Formats: sequence, structure tokens, C-alpha cells
Amino acid sequence: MKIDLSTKIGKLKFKNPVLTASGTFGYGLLINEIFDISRLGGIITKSITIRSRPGNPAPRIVEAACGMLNSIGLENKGIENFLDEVLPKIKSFNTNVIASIAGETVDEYGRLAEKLDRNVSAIEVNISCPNVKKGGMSFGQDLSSTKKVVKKVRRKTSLPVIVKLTPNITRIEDIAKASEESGADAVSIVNTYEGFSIDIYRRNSKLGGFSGGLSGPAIKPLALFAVWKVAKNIDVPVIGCGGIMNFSDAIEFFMAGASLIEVGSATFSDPNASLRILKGVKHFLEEENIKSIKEIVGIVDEN
Amino acid sequence: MNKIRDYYSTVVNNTLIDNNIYLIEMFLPEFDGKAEPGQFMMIKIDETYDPFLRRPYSILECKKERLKILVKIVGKGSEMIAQKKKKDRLYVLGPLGVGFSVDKNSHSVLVAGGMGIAPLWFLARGLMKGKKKFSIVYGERTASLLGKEMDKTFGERVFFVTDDGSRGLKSTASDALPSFLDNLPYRESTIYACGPHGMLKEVINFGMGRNIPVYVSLEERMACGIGVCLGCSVKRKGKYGFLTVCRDGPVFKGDEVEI
Ligand SMILES: Cc1cc2nc3c(=O)[nH]c(=O)nc-3n(C[C@H](O)[C@H](O)[C@H](O)COP(=O)(O)OP(=O)(O)OC[C@H]3O[C@@H](n4cnc5c(N)ncnc54)[C@H](O)[C@@H]3O)c2cc1C
Ligand SMILES: Cc1cc2nc3c(=O)[nH]c(=O)nc-3n(C[C@H](O)[C@H](O)[C@H](O)COP(=O)(O)O)c2cc1C
Ligand code: FES
Repeated sequence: MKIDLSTKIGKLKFKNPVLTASGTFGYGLLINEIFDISRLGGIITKSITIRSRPGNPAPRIVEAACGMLNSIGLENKGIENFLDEVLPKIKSFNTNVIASIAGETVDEYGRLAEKLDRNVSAIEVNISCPNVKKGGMSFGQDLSSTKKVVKKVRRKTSLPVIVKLTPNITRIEDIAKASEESGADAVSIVNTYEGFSIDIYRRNSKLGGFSGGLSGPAIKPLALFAVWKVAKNIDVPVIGCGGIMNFSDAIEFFMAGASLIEVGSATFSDPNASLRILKGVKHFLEEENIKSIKEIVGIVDEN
Repeated sequence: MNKIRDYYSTVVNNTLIDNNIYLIEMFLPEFDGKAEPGQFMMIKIDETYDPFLRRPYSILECKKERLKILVKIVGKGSEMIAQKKKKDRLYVLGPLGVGFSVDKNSHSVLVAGGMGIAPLWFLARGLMKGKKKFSIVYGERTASLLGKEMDKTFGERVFFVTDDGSRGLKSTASDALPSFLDNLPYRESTIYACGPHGMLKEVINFGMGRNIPVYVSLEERMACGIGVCLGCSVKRKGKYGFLTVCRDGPVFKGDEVEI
């Protein structure tokens, strides 16, 4: 049986619905030494900022039960470096390259989108990073800022615009709706949950940046529920993300309403995770006689 | 650089060699045995999600399809690895990072503090095989069985230092280093160091003051071990920005990083 794994965001075609989450896959170059990343539906880059950012002080990583807290602080070399040094190397990947962007101001988001226009397959707008003082999650926690950022980016690019949402808010479905109304072609759900961990002998946070973002299997039920709530409220595709470790986690996200998924921290415990999950999803559909992934998207709802 | 692979390996031997320190030998199918001293492996403890992350361990010795690591119990993950028995399976990712490159024209002085010996042991074995002259300054809190093992393997080349004077000189490795170097009959030396943060700092400062090249192997919290998460960054010295310990290191030139 031929299984149809393909899907779309706006006009952009994806050969399969498995992507890699921003900040967990670099720019794909290093993992491409381990497996052929062109087999994936797409990769999402580490978030790119206008200026180079050194990131937060160490320790940036602390393990948590079934997950991890990170406080990287958007370390990256800035947009010019991305365009000059990184993009030429990753353009040739035979898969969708999605650039994640993070601004300190609405205007910066616009400038980033403008510079990336026509250079990548799509843009993921990160308005959900919990580890920066300026911008980041504060945009995604406020309806009117969300609208301003998304409208700005929309005006500056013809590329598909994906908005990455924070779960650190009471009603994520409202922010999702606002993104859709402002011109988003899709939303990704979720970025990390804000949290921290205390060293009881030093009487201080274990993280150099004080607080961090929780990811991994620990957040999966929360992320899954957020996807379900949002998916039934909007018409554009939802990209599900949060604690996806294997194919059955991925299938749960599809059934909750995600059209695509992002594999994040799972790559740390297994660099082949995204490919393994893709193969598992395909195998599941074959075994269950499901011809197209679209058949199961959002299939689970309350009676 | 060798291709990074995730080896589904089997424990061949696990021996308690000192209080809380285990020597684990593993069978890595298809591993070609090629690695640089200073490179490390990321070890997945089991199939469950807790502990979630892999743990980094230096390569102590390796050859075709074989790998040895030294594991000191300091927390949950290391304890679980230490409890692995013969025939237990583990995923081992590597070899990772950039190791030591030895300057063949100068005398190698290896400075190790406690468990910092692991990558330097590998280096020393290589120097021994190549019939190169070298010295080791080995500092530890108190005379341990590991030290005895070093004595057996490297003999006279080891200069022992203990905090309590129970073996060798009563001092610390970094304090003992200057006069040790002064007493060496060689004009040019290069220092290769691994150990606690404070020790490395002192060794770097000493080397810079005397114009002696120093290479250090660093430890930092790691999630991926392959350069994609940016969790293990260290500050560049004198320049803006960061380097990753897992990909650009763990071995750095002393004047390259701010520690
Ligand atoms: C490149 C490198 C090589 C190493 N080589 C060796 C070796 O040969 N032998 C050995 O015994 N130990 C070595 N270590 C240290 C070893 O990785 C830690 O002792 C181990 O990860 C502790 O895990 P835990 O769960 O027992 O401790 P916990 O404190 O419970 O660990 C919690 C978290 O902190 C991290 N962590 C704790 N201590 C360290 C540390 N010192 N460095 C980095 N991360 C740490 C753990 O990986 C884990 O994510 C090395 C570390 C690095 C970075
Ligand atoms: C180390 C690390 C770095 C991250 N960096 C970014 C980033 O730069 N931009 C972003 O939008 N999300 C970032 N994230 C969030 C992930 O993309 C993802 O949304 C989150 O980890 C939840 O998915 P997971 O549980 O599968 O990891 C990062 C996550 C981790 C663990
Ligand atoms: S541990 Fe991920 S970049 Fe070094």
C-alpha cells in the first residue's frame, strides 16, 4: 500500500510531517553527518536574531524528572552570519529549511523576515522563548503584541509564516486565534514551560540564567492538550511539539489535531530520533491500513 | 574526524577499582577503535526517560570493538552506569569532540587531578607506545587504589601529590607543578591538564606566566554532546562569543577559553 505522508502549510509542500524543533538540531549540518536529514519533512533552525548573542551563563542545562530545563538564552551569531555563512551550506538539503526568528522589538521581527524572504522555505516566528530579558515570551503572552509581531512579519515576507506559541499563558487558544487572524499560515505548539530547580546547599537556582524552559516527556500531556484545544479553534495547520520521543507520541499529536510535528529534546537522547519517529509513523499507518496521514489528524474529540 | 555512531554495546567487564570508582569495559560492534585521547562518549543509561540525558565519559582506552571507561559515582546517573553488569546493554555515542594533539618536539607533562586522569591515561598510554618521554603529575586527596594502578602502569614517570601527604608530596598538583618543571632536564615542555576547575585555572595562569603551552580538557553540562543544543558553551578568551565544549573541545588551548 502506498502511504501518503505529504502535507502542506499554505502553498509549501512537505514530503512528510516530521520536522525538527528549533534549538535542538542546530542547522542540521552536524546531524547530517549521522543520517541523511533530507529524509525529514523539514528542519527548523536555531532561532536567529538581528545581532549576535552570546547566550546565558553556565550552567545552561539541568536535568529534571523525565526531561530537562534549559537556559541557553538564544545564543547565535546573528542574521548576517546566518545568511553569509550558514545558509549556503544548508540550502542544498533536499528538504524544507525553516528559519526561526526572534526579535527584541516588533521592528526587529520585521527586519529579520525581510532579510530571509525568498532565502528559506518558511519562517517560524519565535514569540515564546522564556530565556531572554527583552522580547521573547513576553510577546507571546500578550494578545496585542502577538498581533503586532505577526502582522509585521506577514507584511515583510511572502513565505509561509508559522508562529511558535508559548504555553505559559492561561488561554493559548486565544493567542493562536489572534495569530491566525493576523496572517499566520500555521502555529507551532509548544515552546518550553517555564520552570527552575534549586541547589539546596548553595541556596540558589541550579541554572546560570536562574529560570529556564522545561522540555521532554515531562511536558507531553500538557503539550498534547494545548494542541487539542488550539486545533479545534483555528483553521490553519497546527504543528505539534513537546516531549515527542517515539512514533506513538507522534501519532497522539496527529490525533489531537496536529498536521505536522516537531521532534525536540528527543534528539539529545538519540540523535536518530526524528528519523526513527518518521519510520515508525509510516509503519503504523501501514499496519493500521491508513492511506493518508490526513485521515487521522484531529480524529480524537470529546463525545 | 571519525564518523560519529551510536553503538549498541555490551558490558564485558565491570570492576570496582577504588572506593566508588568502576572500570567498565564494553564491546562496541563494528567500532574501528580509532579515537584521540581526550575524546569522549555519550552514554545512554537505559530505555526509560529518567535519567533523561546521556552522560559524558572520557575514553580511557579503546581498540577495535572495545572501549574502557572509568566511572566515579557522583549522582544518580553515574551510579546506574556503575551498577551495569556483564552482558548488560548500553547505547554509546561517539567518539565525540576534539582531543589532545601532542607537540612531538617538547616534553609532555600531564597534570591530572583526581578523576581528571581518565583522558590523560589514554594520552599517556599512547606516548608510552610511541616510546616518547613524558611525566605525569598526579594529585589526589589521599592515596587511592587508582594511584597504585598508575604506579603499576606508568612507574617512575608519575610524580604523586596528595592533600594529606599519604603518598608522595603533601601538596596540590598545581602548587607542585612549578618546582617539578624546574627540576626537569628538558628545555621545552608542554602541559596537558584535566581536573577540577580551580586546578585548571591555576595551571593555565602558571603556563601563561612562564610561556609554557597548556592544553586543558574541560567539563561542562551537556545535553546533546554533538554541538546542536549549545548547552555546553564556554567563553572565548579575549574575543566575543562562545565555543562548545562538546564539539570545539573538550580539549582547548589554555589561552583560548575563559574559565
Ligand atoms: C567531556 C567529559 C568527560 C567526562 N569524563 C568522565 C570520566 O571519564 N569519568 C567520570 O567519572 N566522569 C566523567 N565526566 C563527568 C561525568 O559526566 C559526570 O560525573 C556525570 O555526568 C554525573 O552524572 P550523575 O547523574 O551521576 O550526577 P548528577 O549530579 O545527578 O547529574 C545531573 C546532571 O548534571 C550533569 N553533570 C554532573 N556532574 C557533571 C560534570 N562534572 N560534568 C558534566 N556534567 C555533569 C549530568 O550529566 C546530569 O545531566 C566527564 C564529563 C565531561 C563533560
Ligand atoms: C536546548 C534547547 C534549546 C531551544 N532553543 C529554542 C530556540 O532557539 N527557539 C525556539 O523557538 N525554541 C527553542 N527550544 C524549544 C524547542 O524547540 C521545543 O519547543 C521544546 O523543547 C519542546 O519540545 P521537546 O519537549 O520535544 O523538546 C529549545 C529547546 C531546548 C531543549
Ligand atoms: S552538549 Fe549540546 S552543544 Fe555541547
